[in-house]
Amino acid sequence: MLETLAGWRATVRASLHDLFAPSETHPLSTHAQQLERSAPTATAPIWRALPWRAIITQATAMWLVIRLIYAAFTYFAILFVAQGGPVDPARVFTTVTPQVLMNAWKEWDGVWYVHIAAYGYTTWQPTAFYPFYPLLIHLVMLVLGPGSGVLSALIVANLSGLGACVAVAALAYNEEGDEETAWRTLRLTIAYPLAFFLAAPYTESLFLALAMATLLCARRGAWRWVAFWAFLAGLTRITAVILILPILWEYGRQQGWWLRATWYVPNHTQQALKLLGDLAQPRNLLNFGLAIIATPLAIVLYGVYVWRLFGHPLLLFNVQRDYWNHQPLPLWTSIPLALRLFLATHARSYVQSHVLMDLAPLVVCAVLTAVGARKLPLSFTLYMVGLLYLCVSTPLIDSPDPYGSAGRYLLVSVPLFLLLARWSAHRPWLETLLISAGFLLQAIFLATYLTGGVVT
Amino acid sequence: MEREAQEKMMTPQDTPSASGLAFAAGAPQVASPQRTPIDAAGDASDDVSDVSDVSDVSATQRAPDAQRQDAASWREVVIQSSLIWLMTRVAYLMYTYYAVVTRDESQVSRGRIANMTLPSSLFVTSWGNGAAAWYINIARQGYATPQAAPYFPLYPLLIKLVSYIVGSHALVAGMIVANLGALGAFIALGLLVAHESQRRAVAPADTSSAITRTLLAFAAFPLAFLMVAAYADGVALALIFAALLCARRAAWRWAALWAALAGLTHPIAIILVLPLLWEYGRQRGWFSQLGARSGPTMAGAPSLFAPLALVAAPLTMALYLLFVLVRFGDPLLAFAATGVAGQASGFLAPAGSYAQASALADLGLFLIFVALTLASVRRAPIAFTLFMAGLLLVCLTTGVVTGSDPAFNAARYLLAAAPIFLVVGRWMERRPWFDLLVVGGGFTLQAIFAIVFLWGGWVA
Repeated sequence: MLETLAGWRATVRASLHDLFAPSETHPLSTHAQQLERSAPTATAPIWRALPWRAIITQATAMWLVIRLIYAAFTYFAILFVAQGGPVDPARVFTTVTPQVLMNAWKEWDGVWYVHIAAYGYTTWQPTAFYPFYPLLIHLVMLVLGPGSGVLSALIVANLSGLGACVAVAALAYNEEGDEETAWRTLRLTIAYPLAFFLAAPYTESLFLALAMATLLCARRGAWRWVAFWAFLAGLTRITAVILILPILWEYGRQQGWWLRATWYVPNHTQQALKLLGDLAQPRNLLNFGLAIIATPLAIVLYGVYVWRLFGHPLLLFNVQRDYWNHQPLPLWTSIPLALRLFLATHARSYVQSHVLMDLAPLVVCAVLTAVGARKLPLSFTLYMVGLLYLCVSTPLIDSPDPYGSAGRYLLVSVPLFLLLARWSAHRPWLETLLISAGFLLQAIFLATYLTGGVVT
Repeated sequence: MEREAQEKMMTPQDTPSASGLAFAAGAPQVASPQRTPIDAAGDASDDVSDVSDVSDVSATQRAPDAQRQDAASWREVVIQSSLIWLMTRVAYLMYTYYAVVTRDESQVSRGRIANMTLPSSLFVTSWGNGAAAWYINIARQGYATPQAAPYFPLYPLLIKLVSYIVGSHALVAGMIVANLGALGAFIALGLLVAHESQRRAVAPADTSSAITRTLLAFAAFPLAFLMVAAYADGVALALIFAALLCARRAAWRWAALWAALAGLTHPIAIILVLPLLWEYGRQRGWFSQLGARSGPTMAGAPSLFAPLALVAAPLTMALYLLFVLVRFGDPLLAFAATGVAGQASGFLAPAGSYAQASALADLGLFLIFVALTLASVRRAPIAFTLFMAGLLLVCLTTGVVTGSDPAFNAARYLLAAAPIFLVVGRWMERRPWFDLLVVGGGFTLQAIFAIVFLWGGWVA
């Protein structure tokens, strides 16, 4: 028993060392080296000594700054935009309380999460909202009191946002090896037009933190940490399934599975058996198995919980179709449908603007994914492909905006922000466009959201 | 005689721009024969040193290669500034689309406008609120009523000229002029950054970064959207920045021209008098008893255009006041839009009220710029400090409460605070969190104020 415990302790210590300790064995000093290592022919983990203090300090400062901006913005938006034009003299001295300003953030999905945190899954409709975020809200509510649902939800979301900022900066630094690109990537993430959802009572910030931590650990070959973060991501959002392919690819890459030389042998069967034999080694099997199975396991566990609660084994998947109108469709049906619906909208109409809010990011991200495929590690491309596929494969068939919320889902497209950060390093005009358009659009979407408009 | 010849040789016609705006960003720093000990040490001079300008250097000392490099660098700054300006306009296009379309979102739930096409003209006319309507009216009908007197004549005149090209769409003409004015302001500010960077012997790559950061800070200023609307701000800022730049470069002929035009565009041009006077005095050695702080002097006879530059803005403003006197019988009508600051009353309004928020937007920005001015006093050239002192004084004496809706006039004038944008731009380079605060905070607040403006709730 003691031996087992000691073994576990050694394993955990080794994992922690893998993740946090600086390494002398994988010095990646230049971008060229990094690219070489991320190529399919390279098998080493992308392991760079991370300046944790700088990353945490800078990410925290930027996180704090954007929170201050959101706080000021909420104040002005509620008082100015809610007026809806020329000010009504009767309302000039009407005051709003901090409670009103805070509750303005509780819109749409936020209402559901707060409800689940307070009362659990009382009906089957909210089972589409995965349990980890409401669980964390509930834990905070135990401290702050039962009436603190919105505040607790905001605390959890914003603390997760801090984690997300650190994870994004760490991932970018691990890939690029320079702080400037890391901060720029983080800045572009924050400037994404729907990035305010990182501060709203949604799962965006928590999922972003977990997904980026998963990708970071996968790139660094810290597989047990990959399993840990991926499992939590699976408990946070169904979207976590997009992590499976990048994990698989990264693991295979680091094992040399995708090397041509691996398979350029006279006897393929023997080689395959050799690789299987390697994989069957207890340590490898544990690493690979845990990392790959973590996300599906989390989803299945939640599915079982829902089954026990409501007596239907597939309720978790059916609820998306039956209540939220997300119909799984093949791409060759979904995309023409979306185009047809978009063309049916009137030019310069509210509906068109709403559809564009989701469709435009989708198109831009698809183009960037295609263009950046040769510039980004393949695991990142697979991540983006998975994300894009999820956005278009379950359209809302009874809505003029079939890809509703796609713009928000794409907030986690950090690989593309990394790509844009690289490009904008020597193109001030590109940075200006991304930053100015990003924040201006974000402001108007946030103002719409805070005043009860439709931004989902 | 020698100095006269030297100055003659360094007239703007000799510079690549032929407009007095030329500079040598990134060009090798030519050693001034009169560099101060501080400059030589290159320490605190970081920002202080009023070292010799390019024009202090004899043209005969400048090799053709250096001149070509100057021209190339000049072009680079113009292109960089223009591209940044262009990208902000693209961002405003997207922003306008959403701001206008979502205006009546409250009606969506009732299904009234859900799929209704809005007239395309609405996307333009929304920018014609507030003072824009006055400028358009003046361009169309001249100064028909005394209420038009506060709107100075150059901008409406330019609208009139452009209207000959675009037809009867005076608002479109107004926006074209305003946005081209903004382009001029971006370029002049970019050149000013490059000029000051060159004086501080900043490396070309860092100069480029400083230009980007400064222009981003400028573009992100919460009221910078007024350079998109049919307001005179864009044109006025271009002229004011150009005058300041030319004065710093001792290109007095051009400084006089830009200052004169600025005086015809906006009353805020009056703030040019003190910094130009200081610059002239500094270059003539009037303040040499201040030591290194005063900067180097220039030998030789003074430029004939320098005194003209000093009085150019007040002179043209006086001409306009004379016109107002003749036209309406009271020259002070030209300042009727300004008055005693009324923000204090709004600031003391109930917490969380519209009145308080309105005052905060105005007074808050004002106080921030006061603090930044004080923080940069010891580092910025004295001419810049005087420029800011004048600007802050103008802000203090403007801003009105129109009925129950306080206006944002004072904060609007802070858009001219080029010296502060220079300082902030430098700070942004080294501090990503500060960069985010300035750019992120600026653009998001700007979006809020722009919504108010586009939705017709603006009175500035």
